[in-house]
Amino acid sequence: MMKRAILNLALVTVFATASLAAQTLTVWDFKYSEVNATGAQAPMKANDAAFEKANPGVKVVHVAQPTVDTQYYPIIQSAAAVNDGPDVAMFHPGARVEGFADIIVDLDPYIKDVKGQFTAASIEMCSVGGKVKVLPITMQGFGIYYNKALFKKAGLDPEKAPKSSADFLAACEKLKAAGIVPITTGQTYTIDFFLRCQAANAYGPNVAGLFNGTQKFDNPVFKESAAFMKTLVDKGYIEKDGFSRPYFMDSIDKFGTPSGGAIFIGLLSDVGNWKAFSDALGVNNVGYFPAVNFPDAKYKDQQVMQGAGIGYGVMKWSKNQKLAAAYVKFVSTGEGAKTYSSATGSLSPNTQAAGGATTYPVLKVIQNYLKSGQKDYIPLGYNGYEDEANRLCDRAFVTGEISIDKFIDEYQKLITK
Amino acid sequence: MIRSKQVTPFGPFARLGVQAFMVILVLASLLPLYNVLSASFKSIEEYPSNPIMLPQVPILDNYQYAAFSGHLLRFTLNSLVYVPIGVALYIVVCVMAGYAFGKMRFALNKPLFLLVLFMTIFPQLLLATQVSKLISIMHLTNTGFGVVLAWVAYFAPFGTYIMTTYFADMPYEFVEAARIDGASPIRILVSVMAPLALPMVATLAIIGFQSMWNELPFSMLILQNESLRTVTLGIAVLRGQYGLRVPILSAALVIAMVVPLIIFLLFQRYITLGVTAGAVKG
Amino acid sequence: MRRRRGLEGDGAVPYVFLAPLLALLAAFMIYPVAMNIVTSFTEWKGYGPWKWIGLANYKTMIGDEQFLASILNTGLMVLYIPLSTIVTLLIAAFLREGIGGWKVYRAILYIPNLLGYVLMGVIFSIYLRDDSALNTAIRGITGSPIHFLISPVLAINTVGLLLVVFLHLGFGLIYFLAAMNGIDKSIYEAALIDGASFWKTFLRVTVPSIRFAVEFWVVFNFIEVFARMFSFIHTLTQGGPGYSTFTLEYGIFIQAFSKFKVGYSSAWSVVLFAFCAMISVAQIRLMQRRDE
Repeated sequence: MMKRAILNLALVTVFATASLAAQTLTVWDFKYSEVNATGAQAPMKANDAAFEKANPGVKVVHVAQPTVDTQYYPIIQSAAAVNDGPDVAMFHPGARVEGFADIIVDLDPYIKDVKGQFTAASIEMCSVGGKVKVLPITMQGFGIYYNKALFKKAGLDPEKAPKSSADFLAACEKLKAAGIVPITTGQTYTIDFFLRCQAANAYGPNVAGLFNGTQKFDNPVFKESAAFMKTLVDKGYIEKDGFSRPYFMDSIDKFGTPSGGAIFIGLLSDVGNWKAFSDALGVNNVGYFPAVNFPDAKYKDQQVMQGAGIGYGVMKWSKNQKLAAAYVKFVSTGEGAKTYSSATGSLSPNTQAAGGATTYPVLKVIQNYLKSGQKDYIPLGYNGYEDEANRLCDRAFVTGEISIDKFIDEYQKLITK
Repeated sequence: MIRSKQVTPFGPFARLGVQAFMVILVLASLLPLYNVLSASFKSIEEYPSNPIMLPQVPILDNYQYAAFSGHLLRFTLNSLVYVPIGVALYIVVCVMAGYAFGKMRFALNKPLFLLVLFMTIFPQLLLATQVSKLISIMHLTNTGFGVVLAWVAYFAPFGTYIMTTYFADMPYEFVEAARIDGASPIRILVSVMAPLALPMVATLAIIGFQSMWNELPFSMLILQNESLRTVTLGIAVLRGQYGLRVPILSAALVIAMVVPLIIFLLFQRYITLGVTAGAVKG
Repeated sequence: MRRRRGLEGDGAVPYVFLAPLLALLAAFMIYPVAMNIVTSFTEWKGYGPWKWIGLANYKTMIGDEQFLASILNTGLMVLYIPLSTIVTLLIAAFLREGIGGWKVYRAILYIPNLLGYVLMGVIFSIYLRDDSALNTAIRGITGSPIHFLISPVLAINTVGLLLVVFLHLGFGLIYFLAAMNGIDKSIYEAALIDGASFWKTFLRVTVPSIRFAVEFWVVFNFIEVFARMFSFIHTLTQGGPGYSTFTLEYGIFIQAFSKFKVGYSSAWSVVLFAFCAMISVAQIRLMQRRDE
């Protein structure tokens, strides 16, 4: 009798394990190839292992995909063409999720218990037509970092951020005179990120109005910001050599070296962020402010913020949608979210996962500005919008082919293209 | 190809000038390569301050990173599997078709041959979307065979053209003799004509190898999993990847150069023949 | 390519021999091109249903600045073809005169062909930056770097010079030297006895004797410019700065794989196909003319 019971139990266990073992969860990820010290792969691996442990018999196959948009999204497109691919895929919330909304499962039925943990801004960015499509693991934004040691060296007060346009120009002049590169630059993104920072000051809470016609790019503050960038280029404050150097990671690295340059327009999450710079330059050597203030601007010190930077969605063709949704929840909430954000220095959009990291003074400064987080306009566009916008930036600021007026004109036209 | 030295209109000065010009050209080709090689041994800290000179303290870390963390070793092995299979299939397809066009008579010979010629120059981007879709439908996405199939199809028209001209120039008597002996057409091809065409087949193999080894768009769309990438695709993807600095990228480039350079040193003669096979006769 | 006619046919056997080739071409070449033509009249994301929109894509294309830029850029590249032809021919003629070490030169100059566009594109993307080794040296001499990649005028000309002239040089040398080898040596000896200069011999003997090779070279360069440069652009400039190195091929790529306007991208493809068809016909004619 006893023998039989044991046999039964053994059989049940064997069958249960066998049926569970058949469950493979494939995840496509454009961050998984980051194997450097603060890279994304290590915490992702830890999360996968924890998920497998919590769900016996499940195997997570995490696939590293190309980092570059023009290489990653075509792969999603080709999966969609045959309606077969990964169970879970990483996306940039905003234009990309909207573009692929028809092949991503609505997460609402699965996330009732955790939806409230995410900031309203992140849920809004991750939703299409009111349905949540992805759960975010980062919050993204851009801002202006400066190297306090170099400020000191140039005779500037390192504790006083040059937030006003006049102070900013004066600081650049002093830095230049001291033989220090005032603004470290990278291909394409230095200008792109700067304009996105400035839009927060130009439109405040009305950034989204750019896409419904209530706001235009010829707003005086935005236009002034564009002209300001041109001034920085013309006066040689922007390191012109940097325009031919990849922003990721060469220019980020350069700012991270002690004499690499005094000011850098960087990110809040992923890479090139407060943690990376603090680790490289010393925690007390990194200053931050969100945008340049113009005297006549109605909004000041506004922080551009994408409620969600990157996130995971469940694909419609997945045969394990429930399990896939459980995975997405697992990595974006609780310990999973904490593991990722503390390892990479990313800001979590999950209010319950906000990490400590109190040893980074600059994080406190950033968190203070985040209270006024304003939307970023680039993700509100369409598939390929950023590529078009960036090429236009190049033409206005790098090659000087077009004037600022023409730039503003064309930049406006891109909205409806 | 050596010509007698006395037959030359150049005086000593002109000769010196030409030599100088050639040396400059050769330097211009080698400097970028030297730059890559020297950067690959520099530390990430050293490179920005010393882009030109030899490394002060040569290190191998970049190679270790590129080969293992950057998977260049894996990618090279992948290429070393896919490309030879691709070349073998390519040879079979092109030799059979070339023989049919070059030595057989059938109603559609000329129109079909013109069609093949017409397709020798199609740009890959013209086909990329549909080819990747087709490969997906055949459930060959993320398989070496998928990319091999696309390569063979794409490069076959040119290979067929080369084999056709070669077979067409061979005396017809070989075929006739074999026929009289009662050999079947397949037998004639396999045991008589193909062996005679071996030098050209070697050239064809080199052409196929170079084309497939350096191919990008199809492998980019068909091989989506990192572990399956070819070395060329690996380099193209690495360039845009976060966290890859010039010294590491340089080490990756050097690793990627190894196989083509070995092939070049071993088979230079066939490469020379391959360049001329397309258009020059004799 | 002599083909005997008038003998009895080979029945169905040739078709069996051709079957693998024809099946592959039907699936991977003819079908995609045909589908491109169909989808060029639609709005389509590359998956899911498509919507017929008639000629709308073509109308958009004609007014599209990027399309015009890419036509213009491709045109500029074409202008480098004569330079490439002259330079390659001349160097081949120099080498033909038995310059010492010519085999070494020929081999080294072939290396870029060997490594391919992807590797060369990445190598030059490092080498031509403003803070590269090359530009550090240039800065040391002239005080400022040359903006190879961020000045629009320089960028397109850099691509033209590298792609059309420099990267093919080694290939062209082997090619032309082989062709020149076929010229009867006694003609050169006679020219030398007549006291003809190198230039005179080059123009009167060498070039006319290898006329077909030169024509093939021109056609080959057209093919490279229209149909083969994607990998190089993709790894070197990504079509930038702005649209200054955007080409038809690169436009097709961006429309289809960054913006997911596959229908619109197909309209570009149809234009590219038309260009390639013309080049192809020119090439076929050349082949037929030579074989006669």
